[in-house]
Amino acid sequence: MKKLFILLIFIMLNQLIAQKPKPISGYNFKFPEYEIKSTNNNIQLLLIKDDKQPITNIRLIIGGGTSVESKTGVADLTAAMLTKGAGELSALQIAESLDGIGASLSINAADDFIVANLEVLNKHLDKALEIFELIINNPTFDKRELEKIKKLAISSIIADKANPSSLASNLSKIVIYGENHPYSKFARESDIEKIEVDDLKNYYKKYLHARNMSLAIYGDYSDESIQKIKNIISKITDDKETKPIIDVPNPKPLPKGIYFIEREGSVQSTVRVLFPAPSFNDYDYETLSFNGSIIGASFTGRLFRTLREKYSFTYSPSGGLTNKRFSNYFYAAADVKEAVTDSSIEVINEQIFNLYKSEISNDELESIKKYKSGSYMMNFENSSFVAAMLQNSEFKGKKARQVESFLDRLKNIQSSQVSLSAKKFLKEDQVKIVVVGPASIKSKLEKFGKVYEYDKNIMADAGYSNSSLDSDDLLEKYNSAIGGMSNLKKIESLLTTGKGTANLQGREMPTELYEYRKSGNKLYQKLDVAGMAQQKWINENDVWINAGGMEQKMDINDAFKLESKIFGVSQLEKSDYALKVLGEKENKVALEAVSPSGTKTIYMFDSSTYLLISSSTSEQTPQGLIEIETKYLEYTKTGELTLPSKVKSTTPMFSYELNLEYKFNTNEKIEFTPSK
Amino acid sequence: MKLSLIITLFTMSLNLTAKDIVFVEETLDNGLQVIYHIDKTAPVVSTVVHYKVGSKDEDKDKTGYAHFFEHLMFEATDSIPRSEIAKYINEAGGWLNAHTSFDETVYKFKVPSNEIQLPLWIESQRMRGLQVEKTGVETQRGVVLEEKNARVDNQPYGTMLEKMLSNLFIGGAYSWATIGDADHIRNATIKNFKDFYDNFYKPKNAILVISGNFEYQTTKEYVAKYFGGITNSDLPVRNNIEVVPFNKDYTESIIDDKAPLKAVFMGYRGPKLGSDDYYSMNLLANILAAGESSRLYRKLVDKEQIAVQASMMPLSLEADGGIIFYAVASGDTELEILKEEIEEEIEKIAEKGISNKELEKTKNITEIDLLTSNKDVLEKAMSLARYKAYYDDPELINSEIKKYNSITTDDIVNVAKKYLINKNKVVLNYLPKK
Repeated sequence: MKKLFILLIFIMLNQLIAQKPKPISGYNFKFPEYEIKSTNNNIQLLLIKDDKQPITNIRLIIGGGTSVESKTGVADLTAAMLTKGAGELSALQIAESLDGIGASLSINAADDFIVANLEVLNKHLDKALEIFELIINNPTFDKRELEKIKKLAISSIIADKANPSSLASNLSKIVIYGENHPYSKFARESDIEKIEVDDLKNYYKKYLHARNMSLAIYGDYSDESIQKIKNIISKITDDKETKPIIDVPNPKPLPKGIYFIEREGSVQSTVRVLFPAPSFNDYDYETLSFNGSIIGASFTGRLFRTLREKYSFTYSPSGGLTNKRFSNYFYAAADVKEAVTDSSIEVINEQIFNLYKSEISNDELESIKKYKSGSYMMNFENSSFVAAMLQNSEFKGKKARQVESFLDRLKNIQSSQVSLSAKKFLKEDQVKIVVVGPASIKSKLEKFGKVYEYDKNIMADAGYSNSSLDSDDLLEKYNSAIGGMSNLKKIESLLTTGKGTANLQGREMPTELYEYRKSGNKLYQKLDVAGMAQQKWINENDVWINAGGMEQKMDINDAFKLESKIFGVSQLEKSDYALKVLGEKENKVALEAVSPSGTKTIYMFDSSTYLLISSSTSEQTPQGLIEIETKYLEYTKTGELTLPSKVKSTTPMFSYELNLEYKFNTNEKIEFTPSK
Repeated sequence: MKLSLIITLFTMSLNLTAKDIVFVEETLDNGLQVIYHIDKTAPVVSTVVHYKVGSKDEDKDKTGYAHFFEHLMFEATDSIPRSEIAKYINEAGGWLNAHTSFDETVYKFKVPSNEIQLPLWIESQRMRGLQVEKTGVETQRGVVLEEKNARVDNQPYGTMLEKMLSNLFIGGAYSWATIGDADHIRNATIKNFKDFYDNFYKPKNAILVISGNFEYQTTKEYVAKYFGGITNSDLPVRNNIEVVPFNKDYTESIIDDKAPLKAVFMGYRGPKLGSDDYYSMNLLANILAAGESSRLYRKLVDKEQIAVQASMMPLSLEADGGIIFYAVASGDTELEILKEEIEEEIEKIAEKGISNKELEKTKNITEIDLLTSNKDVLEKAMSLARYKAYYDDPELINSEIKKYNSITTDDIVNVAKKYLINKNKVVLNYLPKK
């Protein structure tokens, strides 16, 4: 009997232990104490006391970062050069002095600011501050040191080109923000070579301004040490007139598609699925960030549960939202098995698109809320985390009290809000996919959209072999192919008529084209799709468009000018377009034509006949930048000229295919202005 | 006399500034060693379970098993379904991770204080109740092979560690990398893994540390409740770890299609963890190759500009030791020149010694490194576990700096001569594919 009783107790105890324990009591979270003040010269000052260790930390932010630099790479090199000579101290003396007392000072440039971090044992604080003062107030920007730093920067760029994550990250920036955007910058070797000492001095002078800075002191500091630090920065100018204005324009994302970099010998593909996202302070930022956690939360996000734990396609999936001041992007990322690259993209897309196709369950909503609140609160034992979070947020325009009230906002997030933000930002027509991997996967990517190839310098249109032709040679051969310049010059007017079908989201509709061009840059065009007509008139510098009865006068632009010419491509070499033969690929020669306003068109010519095979360009529309590709499928001889008799034009929204006929030098009764 | 006075004063000043980390130890009847450290800064608690098993404990034809368990331990247990461990922790607002090295496999949780029972319960469940079964094993087999791809096969210089270890520790238990051989992972059976688990995952081979904001007495009761009932109190059966002598000067050139720049890696054998020479060797390594004021950086990168990087990787091992110096070439610099320059800097120390100022500098760097690596509750838990596992002395978390401070300039010269001068080494030249 006693034995039975003991056995029963043992079984009961085991059952008890086999159950998941419940939390023992409420969780009394208190936001760490901090103070925000302002120095006499208006530098924002954040103080967080943490006396666990006899260490003082200083974190100084200078606004602007890489987004405001005049030449790419200047902010990075300015940050690096601050410790390479100051006052009477050489770079070596600074390194030896700081290392000598075990202090660490790092200065780095990010998109929105340069940040300097000093960490030092209290017993060596005075010595460290002496050096810090020189670095902040009197950097020397020595030319010889700059040459050394440039050399290191260039080798770091070369190293990045071997790193699939760096390649994917740099290409992602271009895809999301567009070329030449402040947030899409990354230095190439040629950028570094162009940087001179004056560039750094000018950057430093312009942005080291008290109202463009913020200072955090945290750790085991004393009142006396605060005063010493304040004295160091008291000399920084607070002249209202010279306060730098920091602004970043709206992004110009590249069209939907696959952006691919071939990496020889890769055994994995580095995949990034991207969507443009709003600024750090935008109303939608936090709910979209919630979606980021649903996808990418460390061990419980949807990518971890599917891509890794269900399919074993990857070791390290991640996802989330960047946190730049003016605009951001949503990303899902993974290094996946090369053989399942396309399947992995399908899984990632499915997980993201499900965010707006159906609302998340209450269980998942609550689970992610707990994950986010826990991650937020647990970091607060670390004063450096709290300092960086408060300081960065304030600097990006989000007040510390808003940071403090994050948990209240998180608690109130509803699944409908989460779904709404997904609907707004994670739409299928906005997705851009970046892949870095071996050549073998390229063909498998085509099912996701047009594949744009980049090289390891993140230059577009990679994969061409050298061509012996320059642009003059190529256009001359093209002109000969379609009939020769002497015959082309005889054409004073050109009437083009076409019949075919348009395809709008799977619906086929009869389509007709009537197009009349006359010398002197005059064009009338009417495209009739199932009775809905779009008309266009160009009369030298005047343009009107009438779509579905709504007429609008437009500003003339480079594209309209070229379109109004009788044989526009033939005349490219006489235009203001910058022309470059990119090279040959798959029996085609590629010509890049960049208009004075920067719009790029790629013309592909047959490398044996030199007839034009296709042209592709991007056009800004209310749906963002869209890619328009026209293929010249067949050519027929009309009179002395050989002109396309079958064309297909494709945009992400619709396409049309037309059979064309031509008449030369007819006298059509056409006005090149709309009738009143 | 004067020097020793300076050192004594220096050590005294250290004792005045540093704040001691206080802890309590206990050993359960089943052999589980437990350390409690209370820190009420924030309502957070961290647990660490440090298993004394690493890649050195594997058979040489069954490598990668220790690391495989770092993955498998998040699969199902007798009481916890698949994928639920991470879910429970994340839903509690917590954080989890694990790591494996040559000598240890360590599981880490950090949770809000009121959830203190959750990690203790999970750790107790998987200490003896892990289900080593097909779904979990096959899933993690795929994940681990992808981890190897990501960390080794797809990275520039990715094969360096494998090549270095296989030559530097040839024939010994440190001659393979923790990630293991892909074929060994592919061919491992459920029984292989189960045998490994049964041998190494038990209370007598583990140290549990609880660090953070908790009530000592209640938590001690939780520990008894969750771990006290685990009855297996055997010690694991271990391979005999012999220090195999290294008798060759080996050079290999590798064409690496992923390497962007030429690089030389020079591996030497060194003192084992915790030995007297170990502390001197760490300081010597810092003098030579840690930071921008180190000798190698100053000479190769700053002054002569023949390298764009010059640094070192210590191999701190329980039963052996080593160090890898490396330099990445600038432009067309021949790797032979980099190698000679590194050797010359080592020789200079052996012949001419180092200054007191240089020694003081490296001690200062070490002091702040030790302090900042024990800042939060998780870091402290990991350190306490490590000091207990390797030295049976967790008090070293407060006093290890004294060992560094007792090192003299002569000690530095002696270790340079003993381990690095005219010694056998492994030189790996990595050359980009043209």
